[in-house]
Amino acid sequence: MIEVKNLWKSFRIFHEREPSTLFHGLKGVFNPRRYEEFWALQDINFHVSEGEFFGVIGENGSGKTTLLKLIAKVLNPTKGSIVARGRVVPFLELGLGFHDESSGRENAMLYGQLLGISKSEMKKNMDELIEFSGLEQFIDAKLNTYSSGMRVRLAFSTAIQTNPDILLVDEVLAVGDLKFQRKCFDVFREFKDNKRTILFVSHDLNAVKKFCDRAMLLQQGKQVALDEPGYIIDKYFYSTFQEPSFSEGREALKGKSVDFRKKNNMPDFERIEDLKKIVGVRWGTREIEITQVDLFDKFGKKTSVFATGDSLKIRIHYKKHKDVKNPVFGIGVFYKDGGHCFGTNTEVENYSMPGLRERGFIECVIPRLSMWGGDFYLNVMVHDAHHYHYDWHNKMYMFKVIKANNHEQGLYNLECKWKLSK
Amino acid sequence: MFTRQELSLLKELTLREFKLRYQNSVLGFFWSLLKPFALFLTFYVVLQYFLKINVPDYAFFLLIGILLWNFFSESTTAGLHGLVSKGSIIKKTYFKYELCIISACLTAFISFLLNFFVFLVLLVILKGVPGLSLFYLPLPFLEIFFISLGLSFFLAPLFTQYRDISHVWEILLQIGFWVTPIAYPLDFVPKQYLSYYLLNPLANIVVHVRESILQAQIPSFFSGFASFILAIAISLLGYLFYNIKKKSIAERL
Repeated sequence: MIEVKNLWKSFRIFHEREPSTLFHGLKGVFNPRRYEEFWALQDINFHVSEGEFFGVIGENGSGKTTLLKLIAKVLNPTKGSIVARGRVVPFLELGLGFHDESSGRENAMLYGQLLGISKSEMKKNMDELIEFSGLEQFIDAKLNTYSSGMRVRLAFSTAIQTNPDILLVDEVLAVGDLKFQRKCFDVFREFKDNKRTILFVSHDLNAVKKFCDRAMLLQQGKQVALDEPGYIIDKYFYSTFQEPSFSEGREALKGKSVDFRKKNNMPDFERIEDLKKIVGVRWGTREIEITQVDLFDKFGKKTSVFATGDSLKIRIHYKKHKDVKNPVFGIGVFYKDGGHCFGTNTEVENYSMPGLRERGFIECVIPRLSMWGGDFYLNVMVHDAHHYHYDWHNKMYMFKVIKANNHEQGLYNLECKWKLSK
Repeated sequence: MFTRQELSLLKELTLREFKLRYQNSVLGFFWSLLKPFALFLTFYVVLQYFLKINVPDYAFFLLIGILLWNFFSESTTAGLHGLVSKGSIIKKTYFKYELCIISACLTAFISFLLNFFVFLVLLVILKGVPGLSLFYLPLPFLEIFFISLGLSFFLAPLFTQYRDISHVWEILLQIGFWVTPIAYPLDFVPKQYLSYYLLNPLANIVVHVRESILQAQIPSFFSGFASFILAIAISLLGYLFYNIKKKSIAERL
């Protein structure tokens, strides 16, 4: 059980970059150095009960590791309280930096004892530990011959052999190979069954989603949300990624002799094919003008960042300058690094267009973005049935799709179902 | 003060440290002997033959002093680095960090005892079996150990805060060598300064050790008791200081 109440932690950031020497320390007595209080954690409150698997996610520097260190008692809180019932075993930052000159076995022995396990018990568990780490061949070699992945495997194997009530895990999975990761997950499952508590910090959101009962999102030291992991991960996605920038499009247009965005003319056919390659151009005769294009995510929020599998709604605002027959609205999606991804229009989809009002908007909903991540350009256009362009916004909009899964292969997440014949 | 588990951890830390010091070369132990003995030879030649110092049994007299001083300087230096050198584990796990300091001093102490044993063998061969007063030695040995430990408790947390403490301590050790009766007897100190000189807690300890080995004498109750109290006081004060500082140690590393 872990109970964290009104937890605050500050570090001092000194303005003058003075070295930490005795001289400056003495000088500081008479002339105190100015410093800024940096609040690494602000008012954190949560409770983790026995057998719960609790995830902590957030960007680098959001205070995750500080939180773990506080629970592990390596750091002391500035304000507030932490109660952790049971034996806490921290697994902080990659591996153990230990005696490079000693063998892996000796290091594991010492590390186990540091974590509070008696020597005899360590000896008893040694074989199991070595087997788990998969380092049988190297266990008697000096630690300085180990790769960083091997070090982490050894340290983590030791940490879990100590049979903790509460395990604090900070990014172990990042370094282990696939086989080891799988082993770790088996252990996590076993821990969960045995009513042990795990606090899990990871950037592997898939793992967080899969294992954690609840998760917390930290942002700049503040507890932004605490809920079931799926929701938290969504929140993390949408809060983290910056809207894609358009600067390249503007760059591409520089030096072109005619800026077709200003003129209402209709370029000739060959010219159009050339223009379509350019990012951020617009042309057309403007009988109908597209005045604004907005993208909405599944929460109905205006954004340009989406997660794989989420819905995307494109709202096209128009203004009618002249009555036209059977206008066709269309969209086109392109990979930023080239490649036509998808395109459709109201004619292809057999949408019978009622008469347009003076002003209004038309919406196109893609219920499931099935691409695995990437940056995309969006074309939005309105033309007549014979491809006479009223208003063509070529690659004038961008959106980003974030992968929610690490196991992707290829470009798309096509829906499929498996069935075994009887 | 410590649980059984912690004591076993201390043992493990100390043995590991000790093993590491010697496993890298077959001559490991020889090297640890060589340092004080080389120092001894140099001083012996210079002081005995060049400066013609007149002290009975000067070779053994000097060797005892140098062994004690060598222990003191090695243990406090190791103790000073005790926390910083273990920074990588202190930042990652919580345990009683003072074990790092204690184990650093203990490692030096074991080396010292081994060196002292070699010294005793030499003494028996060259000079004959010393008297029963030898059994008094554990007390001054413990005293010098606790003084080193107490000072290390001051130095180690300070070193996490001020990284130039190591230089300061090196200088102090250099001065300390000459304001402790290592190379010369206590009578060489001008009478008017003697009472100040004896404020150095090591001075009495060195004298006590020499007396019990070379003169088969144990110190007077008052002198023995005074240095005992002083050693306890230094180690307690050091531990107190450490306890005030310990909260911020992991943050400073």
